[in-house]
Amino acid sequence: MQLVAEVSPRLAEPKSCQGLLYEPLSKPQTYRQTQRYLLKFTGDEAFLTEFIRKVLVDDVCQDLSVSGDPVYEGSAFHLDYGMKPGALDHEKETILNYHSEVAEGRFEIESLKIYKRLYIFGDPSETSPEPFIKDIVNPAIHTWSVTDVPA
Amino acid sequence: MATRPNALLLKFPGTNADEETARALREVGFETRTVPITRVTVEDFADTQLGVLSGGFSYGDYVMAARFAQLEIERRLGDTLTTFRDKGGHLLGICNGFQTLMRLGILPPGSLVDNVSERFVCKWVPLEKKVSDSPFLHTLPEGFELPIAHGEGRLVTKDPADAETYMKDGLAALTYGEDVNGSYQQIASLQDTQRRVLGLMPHPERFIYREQHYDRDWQQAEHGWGYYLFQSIYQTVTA
Repeated sequence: MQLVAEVSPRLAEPKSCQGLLYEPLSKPQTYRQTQRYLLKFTGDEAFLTEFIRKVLVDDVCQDLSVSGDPVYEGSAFHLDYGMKPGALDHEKETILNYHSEVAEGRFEIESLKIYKRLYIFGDPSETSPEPFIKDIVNPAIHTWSVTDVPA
Repeated sequence: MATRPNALLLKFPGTNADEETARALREVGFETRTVPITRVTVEDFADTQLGVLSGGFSYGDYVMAARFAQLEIERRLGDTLTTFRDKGGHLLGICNGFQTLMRLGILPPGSLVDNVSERFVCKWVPLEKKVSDSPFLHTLPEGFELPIAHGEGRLVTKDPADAETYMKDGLAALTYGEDVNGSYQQIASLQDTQRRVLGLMPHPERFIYREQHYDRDWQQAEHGWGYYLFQSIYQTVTA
């Protein structure tokens, strides 16, 4: 079974994409950032969801979505990037080590992929993922994907 | 010679201010013991007057600052810290230690999140003492300064009105003299309702000696302001 958990900040406002890029933008664009956890697992899904809520979410300032749908609407596209398989991901290792000690046999995480997701907002005809990939993704250590690229 | 009070410092992977904090505690008269979280037991608190969670980046701030420190404390020690406090012990959390105490729910509800600037801030800041009943602050003046160094120090509450309540109820022990990170009510430090737990984002252990001040001619007090925080709690536990 698979579960997608997306954790989004409740308090953060959209920020200018200029803060992500080296070259000036011709048109204003903004972004929001979330963290996505893709889990393949066996066992009790409700217990796993509770584990995620306890370990990955701060209920004072964050929201959790497990629907798999984008948590923000209206973006021109979103960019997911995370560590390549085989590259050491300390956050993943820490979560997996902790899970193995507290799961009580109720569930087993078979694999975990962690991505940062950037929702980019702006005029779709003027908003290209290329500069974001160039300036944010490090192809030596990251995998990435772009969704909802405008035609 | 009178027995010196004991301070127990918990150390996590990524804690990096424990040695400075231990030295500051020894300067004012404490015996100190630093114990890694993997070795700490409930019995370690039996002969301890002050429990300390030092600054740093426990578990690399993975997921969020202090999350795994909180989970490891809960898993290994259960409610030991709360029980320790309830039996008269004192707890001090500095920076990452403050974040940990917040996550453990020992301090008033809230969270320390990314600075509004989304940047790590490392600077000296003016602070204002807002309470007169803190056993950690009574030898400090109404206004003083300490260094801060954090990326996740913005204190927020579920409802912004909660932070106003903390100010009115004397739970906000220190505020910043300027808006350094977007904290609600510019809160820099919280204490618990029993006045035995203090968490603060500034680093008192980094201003023990006058020579640590950026102004080499600084002579406002005999010691750096941080010294007086540790001296306050020393006086409290030895009274």
